Amino acid sequence: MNKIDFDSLPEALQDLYVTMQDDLYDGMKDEVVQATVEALEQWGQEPADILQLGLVAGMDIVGEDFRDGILFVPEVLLAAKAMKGAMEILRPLLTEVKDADRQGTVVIGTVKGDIHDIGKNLVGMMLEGAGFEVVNLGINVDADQFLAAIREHNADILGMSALLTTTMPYMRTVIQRLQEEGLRERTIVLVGGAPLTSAFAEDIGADRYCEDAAVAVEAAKVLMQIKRGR
Amino acid sequence: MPQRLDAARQRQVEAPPQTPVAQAILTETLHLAAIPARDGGFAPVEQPEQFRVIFQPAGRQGLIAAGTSLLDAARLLGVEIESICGGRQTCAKCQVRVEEGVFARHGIESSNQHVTGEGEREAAYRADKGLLPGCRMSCDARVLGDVLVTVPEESRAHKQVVRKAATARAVELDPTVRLCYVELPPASLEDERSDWARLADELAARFAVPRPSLRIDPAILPSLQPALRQGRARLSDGQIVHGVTATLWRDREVLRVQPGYHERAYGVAVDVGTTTIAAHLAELRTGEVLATESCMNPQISYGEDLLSRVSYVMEHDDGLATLHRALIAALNGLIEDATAAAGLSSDDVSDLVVVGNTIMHHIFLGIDPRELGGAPFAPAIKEAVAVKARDLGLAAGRGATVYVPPVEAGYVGADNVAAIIAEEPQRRDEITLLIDVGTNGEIVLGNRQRLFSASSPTGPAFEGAQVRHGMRAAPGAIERVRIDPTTLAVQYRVIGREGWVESEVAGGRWQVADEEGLSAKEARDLRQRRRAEEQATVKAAGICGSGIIEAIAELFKAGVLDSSGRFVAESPTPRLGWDGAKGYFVLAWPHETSTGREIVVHADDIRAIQLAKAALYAGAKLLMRHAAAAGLAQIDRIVLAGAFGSYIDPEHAMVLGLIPDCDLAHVTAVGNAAGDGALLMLLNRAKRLEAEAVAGQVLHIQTATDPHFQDEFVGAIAIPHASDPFPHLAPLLAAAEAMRIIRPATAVDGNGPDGAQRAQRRSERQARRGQKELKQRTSHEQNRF
Repeated sequence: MNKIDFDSLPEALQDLYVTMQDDLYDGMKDEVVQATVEALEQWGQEPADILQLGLVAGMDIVGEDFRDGILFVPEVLLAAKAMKGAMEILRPLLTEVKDADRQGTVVIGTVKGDIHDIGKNLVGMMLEGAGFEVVNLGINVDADQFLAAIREHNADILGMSALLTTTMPYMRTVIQRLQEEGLRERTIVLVGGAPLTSAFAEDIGADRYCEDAAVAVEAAKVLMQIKRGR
Repeated sequence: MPQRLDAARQRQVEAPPQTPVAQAILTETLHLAAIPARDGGFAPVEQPEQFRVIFQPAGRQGLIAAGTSLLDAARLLGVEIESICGGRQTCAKCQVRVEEGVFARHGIESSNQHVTGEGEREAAYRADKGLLPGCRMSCDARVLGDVLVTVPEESRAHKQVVRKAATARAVELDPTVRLCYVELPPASLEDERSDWARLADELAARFAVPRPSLRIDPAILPSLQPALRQGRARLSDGQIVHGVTATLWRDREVLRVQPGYHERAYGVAVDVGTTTIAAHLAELRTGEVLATESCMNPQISYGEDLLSRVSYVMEHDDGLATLHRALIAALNGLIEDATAAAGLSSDDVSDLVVVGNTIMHHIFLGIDPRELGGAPFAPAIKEAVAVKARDLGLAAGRGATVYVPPVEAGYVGADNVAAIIAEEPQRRDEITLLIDVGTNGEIVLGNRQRLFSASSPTGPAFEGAQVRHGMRAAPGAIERVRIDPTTLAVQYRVIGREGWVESEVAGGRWQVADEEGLSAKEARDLRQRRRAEEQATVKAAGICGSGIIEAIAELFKAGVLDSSGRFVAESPTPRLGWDGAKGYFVLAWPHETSTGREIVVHADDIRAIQLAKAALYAGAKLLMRHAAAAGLAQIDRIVLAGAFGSYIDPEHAMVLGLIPDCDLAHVTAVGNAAGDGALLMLLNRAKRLEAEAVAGQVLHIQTATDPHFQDEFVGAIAIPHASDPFPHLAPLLAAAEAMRIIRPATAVDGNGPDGAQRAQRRSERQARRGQKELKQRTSHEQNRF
């Protein structure tokens, strides 16, 4: 992965990227899409560079400010939607991304018996913002569906959400199934949701409890690095 | 041996780490206590080990230094435990129970081994006068490890004031039971009918009830002949008769036979809330409410919210029996208290109506609620249920029946049906939006044509939980808040204390409002009286739900909060402080509070309330979509119900964006509508039929799976809303906006929220944005030419 030195770029292009980050922060989808097109067509930038220098860099700031309580759910969702708009242009061009450039693939879903969607969707969008491929299975997902999706997409990470104390025990069932089917070793398991605690996550054998979307992204990044390092 | 530490040293390390204010104090004291290390730097003094201490049912927790007494730990964490002797093991008012076992939810193992053993004085007291079963004196038990501590009702310094009152509503009296006095001739050899047959024949003859369907509750048969014997009387004409009063249920079953003449029959209406249970004792013939009693729902010990109680049932073999028994015991306590208050006994109760949410409904009837714990949330039964009180173990007359109205769905229960019966949207042409605010918000929208209902998982924030200095609506709770938009001066009201308290501008002496217009002497007298009162009256201890709603709405109106829920850093007031990038606003200074610490509204509290109110608003909006599709376009009136609802000010609720825009004159808070509805069903049997009809007509909308829910929810997080207009609040919103625009110019200093770096980044971003807009404008203008 050849790193681009931001400072070596022409000043006008630097401006474009900074504006793209600002617009992303403010959730201005049209402007972000426009800047993406401009970077591609007028500056001949590589899609991967636009992703890193414009979008991911912008979402990093969003994630940081969300973690610190400056931004809240609506602002983050707007930013994520703007990012999604730009990704619609970039994704077809990103198909031949080298393995080394992949952040990783995440399968997420709300566990069986639970129909709460929004927090999990936010995590999904933030992970996409950080450059992960995200497969969102929706709500009321049982172990079979999780396992099938992990196999199908060769996922690196499983993210499970539960908002009810009555449904969170099902996470244990899914992890047991992962173990039985020999997938646990190669799959990072992240769990989240209001009634969960770190102790619960540890108890059921998850890798990490993520208290919010920003923590989930950080955990995903760190654990992927460790996984790659192995 | 426990490590005993001197008090001064403890204070340095006891502050719970989660409060910013406490953290600030902690940092400061640690700094003072720091000693120079050899290399010239500073090293903190060695700290004793800390352990997690959790208090139930308050739900407060924090890290507490080893050696601290549980009583002191409670005070540090803002949990109020009664103590008359002040920790000398003399009064035994401070008893608590240390729970045994692993508490996965809290991630701790609690044990009596994790506190110091019984000291000499406590042991002597226990031997002499006894302590509550399984309890310790909290002043004698010192922390040695993680503990989960239950504070029994008896030990709470501020016993719960539950404000669920029956409001006066006109109702036609037509109870399901009526009293029939009959005089029977003595049995004779010529008349071989049984005593029951003679009673039944007389009832049929005199009270126009069909004889063939008349029966007697077999359980009261043993009392029949004794009643007849006792009721034997000689009339003035010398004739011997047996005078008895039969209690007749639905004109077909005799529930009770009393000797002699009686004209009063009694019933009890109960609303079983997740947090609070309220019971009304009524005289059925006059409709008079003789007593109203309420208590905390004892199931709180097994889980604060509904779902954790379902979890308890799932995880414990005898869980259902435990929760059912706890509930029945609490109901019996209420019935005993209410009847005793009216000079009666529980045997005099012959009819009951019990309402509650679907999970309470199931547990009350002894039905396992686990199916309600996950999608598709199927109730065991939706139809109304009538059972004998004795079958549930209720303290009532031997033949008394309990009526439980129908439920609508897994999370829209009999309490919601009762609220509809009280508010009657189904009888009106105007379109009513009925919102029952509680841990689980229930919403009804519609009129006589159509009714829609939904539940919104608001969480316990409105009950004061998940709020930093939150507490339930008990004495000491800040329940109302006013903030002057210009000076940002704060006034608040505290439950259990008369009048408004004017929080000081900053430091100095306690000030009291409303001295204006008084002569010097009158003012002096007033001050003196107030001082005396102050010794005796309640100081602020925390904020309850209505307080936090008003505080946030007032902060927004004053321009201290922006629409996204962020504090405006430039607000010129010493009350605004920062915990990292998160702001907090001081409502009451330390010397104004009973805890000796500031009471603040923290950014995290605001976020929790934003999510809770967004859930309610989004639920209402989804119902409005469905109603609009059915031709019901607008909302004519809004009713805020719930024990909590009677204390929400409509304007503040609307400014916060908890309810949609509506003429404020048509927004009312009605208190415990569910309890009132239960009372109506007790007094009028037609109301029960109506409840059954309505429950079948209401269309339940599952909000969480609605494709529009996410957008509605996210839009409703802003204050009052990201996009929905609030024309009825227009002047007020414009004023708030104006305050925020004015503020930066009058900024006192750069007490920014997030350090220089981020502040700089923000200002750079703003500058770039300005340039960009300028560029766009110029290019736009160039294009024009």
